[in-house]
Amino acid sequence: MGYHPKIVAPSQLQAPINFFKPKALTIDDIEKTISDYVQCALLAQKAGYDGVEVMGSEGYLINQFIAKRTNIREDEYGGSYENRIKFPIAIVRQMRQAVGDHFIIIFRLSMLDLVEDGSSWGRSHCIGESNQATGATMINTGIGWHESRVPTIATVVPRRAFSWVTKRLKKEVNIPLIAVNRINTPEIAEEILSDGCADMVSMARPFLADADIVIKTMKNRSNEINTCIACNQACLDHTFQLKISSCLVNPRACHETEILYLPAATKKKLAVVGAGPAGLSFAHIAAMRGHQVTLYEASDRIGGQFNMAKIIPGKEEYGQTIRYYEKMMEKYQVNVCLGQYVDVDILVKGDFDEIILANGVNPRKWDIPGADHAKVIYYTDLLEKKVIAGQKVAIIGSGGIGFDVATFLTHHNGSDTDIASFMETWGVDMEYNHRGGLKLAQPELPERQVYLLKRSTGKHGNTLGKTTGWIHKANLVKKGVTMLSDVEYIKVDDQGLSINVAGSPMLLDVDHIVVCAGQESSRSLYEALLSKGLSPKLIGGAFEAAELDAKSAIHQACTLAAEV
Amino acid sequence: MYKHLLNPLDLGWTTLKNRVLMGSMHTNLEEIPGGFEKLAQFYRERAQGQVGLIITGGISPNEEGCTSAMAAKLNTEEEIPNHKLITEAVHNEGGKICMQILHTGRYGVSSEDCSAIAITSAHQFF
Repeated sequence: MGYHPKIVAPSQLQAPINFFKPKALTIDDIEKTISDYVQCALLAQKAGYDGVEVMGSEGYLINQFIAKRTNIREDEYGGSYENRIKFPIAIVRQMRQAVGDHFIIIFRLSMLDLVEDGSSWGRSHCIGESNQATGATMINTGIGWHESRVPTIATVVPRRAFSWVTKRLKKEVNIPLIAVNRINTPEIAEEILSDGCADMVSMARPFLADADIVIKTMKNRSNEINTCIACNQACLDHTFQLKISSCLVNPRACHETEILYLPAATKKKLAVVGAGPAGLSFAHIAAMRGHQVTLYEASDRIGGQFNMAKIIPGKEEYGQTIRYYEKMMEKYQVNVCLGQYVDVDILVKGDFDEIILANGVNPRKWDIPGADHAKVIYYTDLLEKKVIAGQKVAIIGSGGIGFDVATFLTHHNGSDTDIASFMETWGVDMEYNHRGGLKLAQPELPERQVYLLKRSTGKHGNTLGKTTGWIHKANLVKKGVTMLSDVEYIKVDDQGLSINVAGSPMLLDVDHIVVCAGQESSRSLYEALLSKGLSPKLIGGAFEAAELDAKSAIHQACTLAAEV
Repeated sequence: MYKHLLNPLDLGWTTLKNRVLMGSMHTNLEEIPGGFEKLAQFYRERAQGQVGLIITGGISPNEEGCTSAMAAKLNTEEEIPNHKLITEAVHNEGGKICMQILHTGRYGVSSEDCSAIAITSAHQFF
């Protein structure tokens, strides 16, 4: 390693999400840092950039100067608000002097800190005005610090949930403002602008999902946009694990030089079995490249497991991916055969060049005494609405599906897209009467009493996404879900579910037991085809069912479709 | 139908072609060998898609402000050619791009500890 930087901050206060305590900057250090910002902008100008964005939000250095929470200095850069904003104001002023008038300077302003001892509204507006006066071209919005415990960008956050914050500043300053967070369609973006919330909208992750959002909008083809579902699974979760970012619904993102969808040299006749995310991804890329594709689906609709995901409160966006695939099937003329259960004969008679099996998974059978009792249902029964659960429910298995089912069972309406109720649930003060925009959270009472059970010891939720798992867990805690670990399942009878918890017997007098205990790949068709001397290719859950994993299913499907 | 969104934004001395900003995202390509070539293609395709203005992932103004010991910074002339790959790719498509300057302060790390590095670099996705 070339160097070992020492972390620095306004004051020697350790961040709750960091292992290290920073060194407090001296006055000389501060002046040096200001000139480093200016120098950096000059170098960026020299490199040909049209401007810079000065990151002043999310709890980074500039934000640390502005907020009392992190600035307990007693010199000219601490104490009063006027002193605490000296650092960013000096940066923008000196930067503007250095770069001249024809260079964009965007100041990213934390308009809603969502942490204790964050800024109050009057302060955000003052620094907005100061920036205007000192030479910023535009002000971008920052919502929340990394250490705040309110979700700000995950799927569970309703669309345009925070545009009201930017609108508030719009009344106070005259330079263009940019609205952010959970803006993922041109329709929502247009609505924000026509409501007078901002002059521009920022979309980040949506440009991983689809590079052509704007051009498709210009050509009135917005229904062809591959919409960001805000899952974070391949973008933020990757960054967190020091992997290259990508996108669950678009594996080419950040891999543009490696995954290429070029016109096929030889046009082939392809059969795809199963219209879940893997089959659909493969079919549309292969057809786009010029292959002739027939897609067989046993049920009466495309979408596979995403049809279940989209009815989980806070996962409504998954329906957008199905809409995208529907449009792509039409656009690239995939021959979609719904309600078609495929056997070996159909595939043999079809005389296909290649057969791709994406026929997914079957829920793993639960094997304990009483597993055939009427109380026992599978998650598919519940999410396909074949069964409506009673008031007391036990969930077997605490992976991603177990968490989704618990969320589904404890919500009232089965939908969670209302902004005001989101803010109540997570304690965000839309009146902005309190510092940081926080108030006491008031979640809705749960719809049912739910037990979430797992055999292993340790905390629930450890297998969930790195950047969203805490949200799902906090959500269930708010809904009063009882989470039990180290559970041994004994039997089911009319009394309910008998278990041992860490060796102690317990009876849960539940109305239903929902089994989410994993799934197995559907392989019978694959084996039948092999025995006929054919060589089908497996993708998605049919290939690997260990974890239902849309990210790897879609990635596998797209890379195969790029090569076929 | 999208008359606000597709309306150009006049900044006085220059004009953005529409009201859509591609927000800052750190991709981790910033730190790998050959990463700027890949970033150039990533941003080129977004510029071809007609986005009004692009913001890069966060680049530190000095060593102290880096998300990690090896994270991208811009404080020497030697680092300019890498960035030119990006700006030329975007400008060739008629796009505009700004570089985000990010100093992490107390969110940075001072050792090789990877989990802590990731916590701080993970949040450029707004």
